[in-house]
Amino acid sequence: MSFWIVNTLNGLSLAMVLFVLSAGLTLVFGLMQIINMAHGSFYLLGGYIALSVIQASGSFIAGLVTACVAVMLLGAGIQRLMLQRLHKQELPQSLLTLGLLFIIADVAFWLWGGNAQLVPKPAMLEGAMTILGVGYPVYRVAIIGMGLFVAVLLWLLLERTRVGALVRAGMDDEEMVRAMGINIPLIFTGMFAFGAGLAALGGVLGGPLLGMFPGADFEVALLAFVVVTVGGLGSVRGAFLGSLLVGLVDNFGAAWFPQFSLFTVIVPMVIVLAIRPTGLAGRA
Amino acid sequence: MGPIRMARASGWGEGLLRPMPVAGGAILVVVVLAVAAFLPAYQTELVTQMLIYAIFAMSLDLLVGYTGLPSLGHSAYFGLAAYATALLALKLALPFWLAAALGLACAVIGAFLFNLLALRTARAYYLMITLALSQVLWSLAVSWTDVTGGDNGLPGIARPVLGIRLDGAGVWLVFVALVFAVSTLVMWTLVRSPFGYALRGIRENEERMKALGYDVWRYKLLVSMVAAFFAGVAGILFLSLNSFVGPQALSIALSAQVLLMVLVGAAGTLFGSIFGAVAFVLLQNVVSSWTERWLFVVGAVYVLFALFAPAGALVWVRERLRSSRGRSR
Amino acid sequence: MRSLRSLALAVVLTTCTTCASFAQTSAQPPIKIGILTELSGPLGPSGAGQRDGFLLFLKKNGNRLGGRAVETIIEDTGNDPQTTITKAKKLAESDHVDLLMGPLSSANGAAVRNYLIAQKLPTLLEATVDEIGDGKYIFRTSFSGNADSYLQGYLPGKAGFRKAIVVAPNFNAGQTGADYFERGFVAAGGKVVQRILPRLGTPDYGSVVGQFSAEADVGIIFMAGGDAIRFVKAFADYGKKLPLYGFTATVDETLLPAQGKAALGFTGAGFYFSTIDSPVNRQFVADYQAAYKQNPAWFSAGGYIAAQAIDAALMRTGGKVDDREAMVTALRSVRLVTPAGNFAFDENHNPIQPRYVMQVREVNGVIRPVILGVIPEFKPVAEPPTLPAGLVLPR
Repeated sequence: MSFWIVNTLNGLSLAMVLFVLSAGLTLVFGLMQIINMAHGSFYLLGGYIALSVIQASGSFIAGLVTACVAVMLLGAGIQRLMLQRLHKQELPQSLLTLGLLFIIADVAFWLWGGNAQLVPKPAMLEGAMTILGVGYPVYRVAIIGMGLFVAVLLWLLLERTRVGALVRAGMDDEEMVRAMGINIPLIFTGMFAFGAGLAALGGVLGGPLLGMFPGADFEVALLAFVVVTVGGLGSVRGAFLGSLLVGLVDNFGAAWFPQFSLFTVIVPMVIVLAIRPTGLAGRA
Repeated sequence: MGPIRMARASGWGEGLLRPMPVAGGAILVVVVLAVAAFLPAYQTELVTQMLIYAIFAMSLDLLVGYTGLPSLGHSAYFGLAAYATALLALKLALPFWLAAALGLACAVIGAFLFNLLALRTARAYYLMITLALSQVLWSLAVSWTDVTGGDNGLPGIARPVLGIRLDGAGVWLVFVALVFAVSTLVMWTLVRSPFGYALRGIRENEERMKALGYDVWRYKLLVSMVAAFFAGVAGILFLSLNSFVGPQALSIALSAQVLLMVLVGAAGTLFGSIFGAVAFVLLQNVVSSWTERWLFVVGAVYVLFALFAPAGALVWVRERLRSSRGRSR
Repeated sequence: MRSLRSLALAVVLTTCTTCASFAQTSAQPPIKIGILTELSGPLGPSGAGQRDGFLLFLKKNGNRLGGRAVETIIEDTGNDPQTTITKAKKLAESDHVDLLMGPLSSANGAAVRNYLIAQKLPTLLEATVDEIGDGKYIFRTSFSGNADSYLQGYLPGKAGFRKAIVVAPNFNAGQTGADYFERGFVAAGGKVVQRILPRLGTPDYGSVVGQFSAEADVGIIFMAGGDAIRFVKAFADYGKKLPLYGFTATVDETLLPAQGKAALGFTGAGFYFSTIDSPVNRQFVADYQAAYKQNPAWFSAGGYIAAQAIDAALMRTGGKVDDREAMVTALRSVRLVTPAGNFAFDENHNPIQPRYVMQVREVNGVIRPVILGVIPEFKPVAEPPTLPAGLVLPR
């Protein structure tokens, strides 16, 4: 019994980090058809900035806010100055974001050194608690809570606000929204910045578990890409489903067949796409 | 004459590219002979790498540039052919040429099987499923140590014998250049054939091609197998270059690198990929000798290309040439 | 006007010094030493440490080894075997280096070994996989993976543990490491009851820790880098149900600040820790701290030892490097006192040097490796070592 509880909770905590990370990726794709190869770089920067701020100020919240705001600004700048010029040109967009991936990786290596580091947990979330008679780390429970909170917030934002309605309309028919006199470029910049901020949030939340080191950007980006593809590109609901699938399959896979854990992320994706070529919640 | 020429040039620019094979071929012969005769081994090695990567990048351009299939798993065929050749030569002691032929067959069969799945998807999903399928092979190469040598790879494959031994760096370069020339010619003929124009039609408007009665799926499958064949050629040449193959021959990193070569050079022009390969080898090897911050420089170059030559170097040059010609008139 | 004159003077002076140095170097050109290691990516900090250790010795020696001026040419393997081979060709055939300090990564070392041997280029490297060595041109200044893994398995067995869980990442070095853990543990009377080989880069080791068999009494662990942090943290998160032994890279000194208290209690043996208490090492740590603002780790010590070995070998050859065979013979016979202790190469050119058995403990608020005992002369072979009398292994 405790095997099931622990592995389910582990799967859920990983899934929620992945969800926060991939929600931004999928929204940006849905609205602008940008496959952002540098999404993992935003995650890495978020984690590193939080790490430095927490070390300097001692406050986890300060680290979290600074990291998200800084990365959002960076995202806004990148969209405004670079990606905007390449609107709807998928191949040069890939080239650009791959270039940014290299640049940010090198800058991070230069600024923070190459040794693997952990983002410190907030002190009040240290230690373990008891769930259904099983001892379980508090911080992981907090991550599950945060992930669900972000999910609800995103749902409210998209479904219940004017901005959300515009974004959804922009996903369906950009020209029509433009014709209505809505400032589409502003929405694009805002959404790209928001997506970058979510990636940074993923870095701050996941940092205490996954650590920050050169190559972490690539590692989590791969997972995020799997999540959004499995879920269906452009769909937040899909990203949520995809995160749950990847998080749980990876954890139970590692528990049951550790020697095959190289395949536990990739093979389910191949199977899902073979059956549903546009992902679980994707539009055809 | 004028308008016809204009129409062609504005289409995909073969108008301007036509003299290129001849001129390019002549330049290549001179360069190869000069390098083979005069340059030290290391420079010879770099030129050899450029030619091998150029074959690899052109094969990907068939998919990305001509057919509109954005593959991020093209290393699968490069690595599959190299591993198969190495294993057949080492474990079954087959002669090199037989092993290489079977290695190429593996790449083509692999492409057939993979694309049964991959071609069900499109666009970004295609990108991700090709990536995933290549990752399956990579994972096998890393974890199945008894067969693949795991992380340490398979060393010790001797260079082949072709009348004379192809051991020396210079002789080997001439051989690679020959393979390169033949591969380029075949791919160039292919993209200018009715088959090639059908591929472009699929890229531009798949639905219309279907309406016109083309079996789009079959065209895609066929071009994938052709692309895999030439990727395999490149993989086997690389295997022989270093007498070594390791998991990185199947890695996402290599797939991304070859995609970068295509994009930097200009997707959909075939010859752009040659430029992309040359630029890549120079960036990778020369910049990293100059500065520890080479990754930054390489990334910045890609960003600049994306911003200022988004359609790729070759298209950029062509546009400059055309506008200067327009002004002089 | 005055400034112009001083400028002219400066030009003349510089020219003269250039002439002088030119005259000097043309008499005996500097020895060229290539440094080819991992300087970017996950192994970047380790490769940089190896390079810095080498350069530190060189600097201390007035940029000379064995009395000869030295020119270093530094190249990054990019942690890619293919690039490693290309760069090796550059160093050997374009730069014409006389000696090479080679990579730290086993994959890169394995890829480049055949080429180096064919070039007859004397190489000192830190990659630990045994097959890389050739007993001729390739020298190792770190440790042999098989022998050290054997030792890490032998120690918990000698401590009295009987049922072990072995955890190592699922790639070459990890798989072989797990095999030799088991051999060592079995030789000391134990039995491996569970063997887990997760993938490198497993995001969540919670599921690995969660399936630890309840009958085991010790864990023998092989991890490194980001995986080591994740594993050690996840293990602590679930309440440290077992004592841990294993490969000391798992709790490397560069990782301890991140692992913190989670690493406490981990026991293992290694050839170098910054906490080794000897005059040579105290000086080395102080110099390294002064130069690079951090503590040296084992890969830095390996780089330093490589420079020491070249220095000593050149003393023997009278500064001659052209005769490769003589150079190799000279290298083979060096005897050194290094920050890690007494050093010599065995017939396979693996290092014979001490092993320090350590446990991660908190001393005056600092979490660091505390040395429990020394195996003064550890032969790099996978067979039961003689443990020092009076060594108390933690249970």
